[in-house]
Formats: sequence, structure tokens, C-alpha cells
Amino acid sequence: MIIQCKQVNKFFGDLHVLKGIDLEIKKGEFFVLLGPSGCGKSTLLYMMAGFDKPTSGSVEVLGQSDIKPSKKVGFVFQDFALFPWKTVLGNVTAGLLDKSKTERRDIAMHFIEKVGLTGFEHSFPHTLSGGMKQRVSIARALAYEPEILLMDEPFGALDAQTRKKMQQELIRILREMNKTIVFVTHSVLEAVYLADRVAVLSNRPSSIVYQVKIEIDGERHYTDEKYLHYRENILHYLNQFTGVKE
Amino acid sequence: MKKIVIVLVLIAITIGYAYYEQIAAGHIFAHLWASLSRIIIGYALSVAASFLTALALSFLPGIQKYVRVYLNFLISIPTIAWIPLLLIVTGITNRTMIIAIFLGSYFAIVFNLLDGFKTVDKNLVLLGRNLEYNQAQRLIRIMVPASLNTILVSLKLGISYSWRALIGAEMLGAATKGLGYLSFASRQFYDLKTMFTALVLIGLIGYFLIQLLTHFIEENTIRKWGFNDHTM
Repeated sequence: MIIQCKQVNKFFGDLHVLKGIDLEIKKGEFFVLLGPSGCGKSTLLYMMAGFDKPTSGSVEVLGQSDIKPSKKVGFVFQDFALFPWKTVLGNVTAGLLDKSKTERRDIAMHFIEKVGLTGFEHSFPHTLSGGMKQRVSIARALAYEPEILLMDEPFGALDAQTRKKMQQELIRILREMNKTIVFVTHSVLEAVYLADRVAVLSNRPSSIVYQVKIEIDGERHYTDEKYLHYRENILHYLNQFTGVKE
Repeated sequence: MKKIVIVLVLIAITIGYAYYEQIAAGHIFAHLWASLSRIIIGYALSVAASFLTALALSFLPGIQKYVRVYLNFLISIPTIAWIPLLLIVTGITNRTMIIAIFLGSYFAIVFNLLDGFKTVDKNLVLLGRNLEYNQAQRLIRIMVPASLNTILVSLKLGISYSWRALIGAEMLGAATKGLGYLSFASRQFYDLKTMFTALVLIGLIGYFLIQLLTHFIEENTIRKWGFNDHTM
């Protein structure tokens, strides 16, 4: 197990956010954490990145339970978290300071090409669209070659069209790299489209109310019968534990 | 750029007028330079010291809380109020005025810098940890550029505070030369021409200093980075 959560509880003051979370994520798995807004799925992700600690219970990442933020674990933020004072190239090399200048550049160019931003190396982030910004931030995270990639609603700030395109490309890019991904979202469509496995969190205090392995061979389409079946199933649990009526 | 040129032309015209009218017995430039050289030294010292203070305090969040109390007290004392004390301690010297200039902007810049660091996007701070940046890298690569907007505001405020402090000090008798001194001394002779010339020069020089300080920095940094369209 590359990530393991055991009876994780998290309080913010009196607010009970996470309650008894048990999770196991295998190497190479694309794992999606699905849940309503404010349920603490991002908090769980922050713990895996070492940004936060559980109040009780344990989170173990790469066999370590005292997690310090490190480049072994990449992080992609919803609002991109780019340096506005750096060009695309400068942003992608941000995690490569331990490498030589030419090496940095070569690695960065490789990943810039991978995310389809060739020609924009010298653009500043504020001149890019939301989708392009998120490509930069994905390239930055991939460039320092983490073993695990944590993604916190990475497409949440994008419009529907861009979002779908990014999902397709993400799958294409990641399939080649065989990384372990933990992906947070509140979109069921997105979850079923991307995941090997989905865990559904309830309202606060959140616990995992449903876990399902998505087994669809080949490319996934929003209209496939199997796809819709998973979607229905997940929605059922999501609605039941978040009090949403269909 | 246009503004700077216009202000320079206006300054030149005013100086030309002063020479033509034999204001300050033709020594207007000596007065101007006296003020200008003081502010350059005093302000440079203040900026250097306030940056060092703010950086040190940003490394020591535990101490910052307590230091802030003193800073709040000290910032509440108008610089003018220090001058009688300075006149006793350091007398009618350039030192008095440089200290006044220093006090005029030091606390304001420290405060602004600290607040600037505090309002840096939290995700950028987290990113710095994720990328295994050490303290110095976080500071240079994240905190300072991310708060450059506030830093520039504090520099602008600082120089205008310092300029005020200097003119005030010159008027309160810490000097025998300078634009503030000139304006104040001319009241004894009911010399409105000199008074107004000094006044206009004080305003123009102050404006010029602010523009000079920030124009070039802004053009090459926050404008280029799109800090004003707040999408980052």
C-alpha cells in the first residue's frame, strides 16, 4: 500500500470534519475522493501531502507516518498556484532547483510539450486561459517526478468544455507514466470517467460511505450503459448521505 | 515616463525662475541639494533597516506578536514630535535630519512589509513546502515577489513620509539650509516669492521621488505579471 489511512479523525476546533476514515490506495492506482463541498476531502489530501496532521489516527504515505511535504508527492491546486512573476518555463522549473540549468530546461520543455503548451514557454500566467494555467501546474508537478500525485479539484475552476478536454488529456498523459493519483472532486461524471476506484464521503463529519472499483475496458464514454450504471450507483450513495434529492 | 519628464521640466522651470529672480540670493540649488542629499541617505538607511527588520520578524513569528505592540506605539508618534528631542541629543546637524527621515518611514515600511507577507496566497506558501524550498528560497522565491504590490506601496508611502519629516525638521530649526528651512526663514521677511518657490519645489521634488522610485520597478514587475487583473 502506497497510502494508508487508519481511523483518521480531524477536528478544526469543535468542528468534526473527518470521522474514522480508513483508506488503502495501491501503487499505480487512480483513486478518486468524491464528496460534497466542505466535507473535508481536501483536508484529507492535505494530510497526505504533509500540509496538515490528523487529530487522531494515522496517515501513512510511502511507508512514512510522519509526513513532511516533499517532492515525492506532487500537488496540484484547484486555483493553479502559479507564480505570476515567472513565465511558463519558470513555473515548470520551480521544483527542479537541485538540477543544473540546462537539465532544468530540458526537463521542463519535455513536460511543457507533454501538456500541449509548446510555444507558450515564455508567456506569463496572466496571459493564459484557465485550462492552460492548469496544464502549467500539472507540468510543474510532473516535472519533479513524484511517485504520487495529489490533485485537489484541479478542474473545478474550468468551464465544462475545457474540463472534459482536460480529463481526456490527463488520462492520456498519466497512462504513460504509471503514477499513483489521488484526485479530489465533487463531480460524479468526472469521478467515473477518471477513476480506477472511487470513495464517496458523506457530509460532515465525513466518513467513507461507499467504495467502488470502476471496471470499464477501453475508453470511457459518458453514455455507455456501464458508465451510467456506476454513475447511478454512486449518485445513490452520495444523495443518501448528503441529503440531496434527485 | 511622461510624468517623470514633465515633473523634471517643471522643476527646471522653477529653478530657472528662482535664479532669474535671485531667490535665496541665487543659492536655490544649494538649498535643493541640501534637502535632496539628506533624503537620499536617510531614506536608503530606512529602507535597508526596515527590510532587515521585517525579514527578521517574518522568521520569528513568536517574537513578532510582541514587537508589533512596540511598533504600534512608535508608529503613533508623529515624526515631528521626535524633533525637539533630537535637537537636544544631536543638535543642529545633518544627523538630526537623517534620523528624522529615518523615523518618518521606518515603522510604516516595516508594518506594510509584515502585512504584505501575511497576505501572500496560502497555496503558494504550501507549494513552497511541497517543492522542499528552504527558508531563504521561500522568502526570495515566494514571499517577496508575491507581496511586491504591498512592498511598492510601502516604499511610496515611506518616501512621502520621509520627505514630510525632513521638511518638518528643517522648519523646526534643525538646519541652516534646505527647502524647508528656506520656506520657513522667508516668513520673517514676508518674502512670499521665496516661500512659494520653496513650496512648489517641495511638492515637485516629492512627486518626482515617488515616481522615480516606483515607475521603473512597476513597469518591469507587477505590470508585466498582470497583478492588477486579479486572477492569480
